[in-house]
Amino acid sequence: MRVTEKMIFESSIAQTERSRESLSQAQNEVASGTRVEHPGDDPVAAALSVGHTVDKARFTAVGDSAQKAADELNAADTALDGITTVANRAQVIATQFGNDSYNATDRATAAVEVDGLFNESISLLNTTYGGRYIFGGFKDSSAPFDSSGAFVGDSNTRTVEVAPGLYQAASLDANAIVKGSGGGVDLLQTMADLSTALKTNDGVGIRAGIDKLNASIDQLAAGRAEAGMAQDAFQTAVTTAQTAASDETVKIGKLLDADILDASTRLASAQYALNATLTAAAKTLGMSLADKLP
Amino acid sequence: MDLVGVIMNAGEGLGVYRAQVATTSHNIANANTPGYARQDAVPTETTPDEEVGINGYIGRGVALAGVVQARDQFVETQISVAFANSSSSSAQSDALSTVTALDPQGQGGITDALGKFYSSLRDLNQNPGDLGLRQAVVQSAQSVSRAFNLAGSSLASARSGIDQNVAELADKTNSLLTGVADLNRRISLAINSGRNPNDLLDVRQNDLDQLAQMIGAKPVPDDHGSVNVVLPSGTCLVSGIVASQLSVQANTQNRGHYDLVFTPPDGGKSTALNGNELGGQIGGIIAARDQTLGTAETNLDTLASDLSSAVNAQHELGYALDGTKGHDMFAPLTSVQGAATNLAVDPALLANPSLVAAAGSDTSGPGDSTNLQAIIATEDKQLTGGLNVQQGMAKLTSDYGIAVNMVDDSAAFDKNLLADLTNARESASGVSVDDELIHLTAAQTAYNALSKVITTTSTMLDTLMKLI
Repeated sequence: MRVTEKMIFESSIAQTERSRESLSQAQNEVASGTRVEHPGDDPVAAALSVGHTVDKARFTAVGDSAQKAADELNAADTALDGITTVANRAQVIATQFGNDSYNATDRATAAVEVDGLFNESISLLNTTYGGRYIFGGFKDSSAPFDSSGAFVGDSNTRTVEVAPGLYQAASLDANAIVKGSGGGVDLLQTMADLSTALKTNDGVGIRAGIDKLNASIDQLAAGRAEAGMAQDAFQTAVTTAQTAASDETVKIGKLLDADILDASTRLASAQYALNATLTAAAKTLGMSLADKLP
Repeated sequence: MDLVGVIMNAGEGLGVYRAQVATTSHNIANANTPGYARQDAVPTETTPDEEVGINGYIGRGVALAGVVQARDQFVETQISVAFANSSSSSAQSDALSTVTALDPQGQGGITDALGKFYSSLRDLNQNPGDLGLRQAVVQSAQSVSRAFNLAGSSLASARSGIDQNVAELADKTNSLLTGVADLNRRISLAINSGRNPNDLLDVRQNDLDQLAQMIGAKPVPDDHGSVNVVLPSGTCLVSGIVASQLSVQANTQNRGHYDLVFTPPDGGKSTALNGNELGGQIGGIIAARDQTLGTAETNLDTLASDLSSAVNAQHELGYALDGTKGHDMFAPLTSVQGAATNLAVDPALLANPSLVAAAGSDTSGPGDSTNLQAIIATEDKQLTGGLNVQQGMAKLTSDYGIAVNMVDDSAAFDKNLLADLTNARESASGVSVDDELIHLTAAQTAYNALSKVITTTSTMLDTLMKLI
C-alpha cells in the first residue's frame, strides 16, 4: 500500500485520540469510582439498578417504620407494666382491707390510695409517644380515657409493614385489655367499685374486687404478651429489612461501581499505550526525504 | 533528422519536464488540502518515428499527454456511503451522549425520588396524624414532580437543540447544492472545450463528500461531466446545473419539531422529507431526535401520567385530617403529552399537608392510615404496558441505554470503516511528499540532461558551421 505523509498524520491523530479516550475512561472510573455513569455504558446494569435503588429505599423505609412501631409498642408495654403494678397494688389493698378487722376509717384511708391508683392508671392509659395517644386506636389525637375512666378512643388497630405489602398490628386495643370489652373485666370500673366499697366500709364489696383484679391482671398480661410478640415481629422486620437494604446496596455497587483494581490496571495500561503512541508518532513524523536531499 | 530537429525535440522535452516540475510543485503545495487528488503530468513518446536507412527509426522525443488526477473509482463509489453512515451514527451518538436525564445515579433522578416518595408514605403510615410527616410526604411528592420535570425538560430541550442544528445544516446543505450545480456547469464547459479541469473536479468532489456527510446524498455522474446528487430514497437534489432547496418547517404532529422540507428547482410543491429518506449528519440527528429521544420522552410522559393517575385515583378515595374527601395528590394533567414536564403537586395539598388523604373514613380519626396503605400499594400497581412504576422506569432506562449503546457501536464500526476507505483513497489519490521529491529530482535530472543535449547539439552545429 502506498503510504503518504497525510496518512501518517491522520493515523497518528486517530491512534492518539483512541489512547487518550481509553486513558480518560479509565481515569474517570478510578476518580469517580463509577463504572456505569450513563444508561448507554451498560443498559442492563443501569436498568437493574433502578429496581434495586427503589427496593433499597423500600426496605430502608420498612425497617425505619418497623423500628418506630417496635419503639411505640415498647412504650405501650411499659404503660401496661405500670398499670399491672397498679392493679397488683389494688389487689393487695382489696385482700388486706377485705378483712373485716379493718374499720371504716382504715378503709376510707385505703380508698384514697385506690383513687390515686385509679388516676395513675388513667394517666398511664393516656400515654403519648411521638405526640399521639398510643391507646387511642385511630382516634389518637386526644386522650382515649376521660377522668371517669370511660374509653373515648376506638378499637381500631393500626398496622405497619413488616415486609413490603405485609402489615402487622402495631397498636393494642386498650378497650379490650383494660376495659374488658368483648367479655372481659373492666379494670377501671373494678378499681372505682373497690374505692366505693372501701369508702362505704362494704367488706363483701371489697372482697368481690379481688377476683376481678386477678382477672384484670391476667388480661393485662395477655395484652403485654401481645405487645411483646408484635415487638418481636417488628424487631425481626427491622433486622430483615436492614439486611435486605444492605444487600440491595451491594447489588447496586456490583452493577454500577467501578472495579478499582481493574480500572487502575487499565489506567496504567492506557498511560503506557499513550506514551508509546506519542513516541511512535514523534519518530515517524520526523522522517522526510526533504531532510536527506542536498 | 537534422541537428536543428534534435534541438527542437529537446526543447519540447524541456517543456514536458517543466510541466512535471510545476505539477509536482502543485501537488506538494496541496499535500494537505482536503479533497485534493494528486495530479500527474503524463509524458508520451512523440510519433511518428522518423525512418532512417533500412529498418532504422529515430524517435522524435517526448510530448505532454496531459495532466490527470489519480483517483480510484472503486474506492470513490464506496466512500460517499461510508461518509454518510459514519456521519449519521456519529451525529446520533453525539446527540444522545449529551443527555444525562436518565443516568442511573444522577442527582435529583426519578428513581431516587420515587424511592423517597414511597418511603415518606411508609413513614407517614406509622403515624398518619403527624403533620411533620405529612409535610414530608408533600415534599417528596414535589421531588418526584421535579425529577420528572427535569428529565422531561432535559429530553425536550435536547430535541429542540437538534432542531436548531437541522436548520443550520439545511442552510449549509443548500449552499453546497448550489455550489455543486455551478461546478457542474463550469466542469461541463471545460470538458466540452477539451480541457481537463482537475482542480474544479477536486472542489466538486470535496463538496460531494460534505454533502454525503451532511445529508447522506450520493453522487450519480452523467455522461457530460456533471454529477447529479440524490438522496438514498432517490429524491434528486441536484440535476445537472440546477439545485433544489431545503428548508425547515415546524410539525405540529411532532411537538412542533422541524421537518426538513424539499422544494424542487422549478419551485413546485414542497414536501417534507421522511426521516428514513435522510442520511448523514441531518439524518442522524433527526433519528436521535425522533426515535431514541422521542421514544424516551413519550415513555417518560406516559409514566408520569400513569403514576399521577394511579396515585390520584386512590388519593381521591381517602379522607383528609379534616374529614373531607376527593383531594388530589398531583395536580390533574390535561394530556399525556408533556405530562413529565407538567407534573406538579396539587396546589391545595402543597399549601395544606393535612389534606393528605390517609384515612379510609371521615369519622375514623387521625390514626387511620387505611387509604394511605392503598396509596403505598400503587407502587406495585400495573400501569400502561403491564409494568409498575419502578419497572416502567427500569424499562425506560434500559430501552434508552440499549439504543445509545447500539448507536455508539455503530458509530465506532462506521468510523473504522470510513478510516479504512479514507486510507484507501489517500493511498490512491493522496500526495506523498517523498514521492514528489523523487519525481522532482527525476524531472530535474531529465531537464538537465536535455539541456546538455541542446548544448551538445549546438556545439555540433557550430562545428558544422565552421566547415562553411
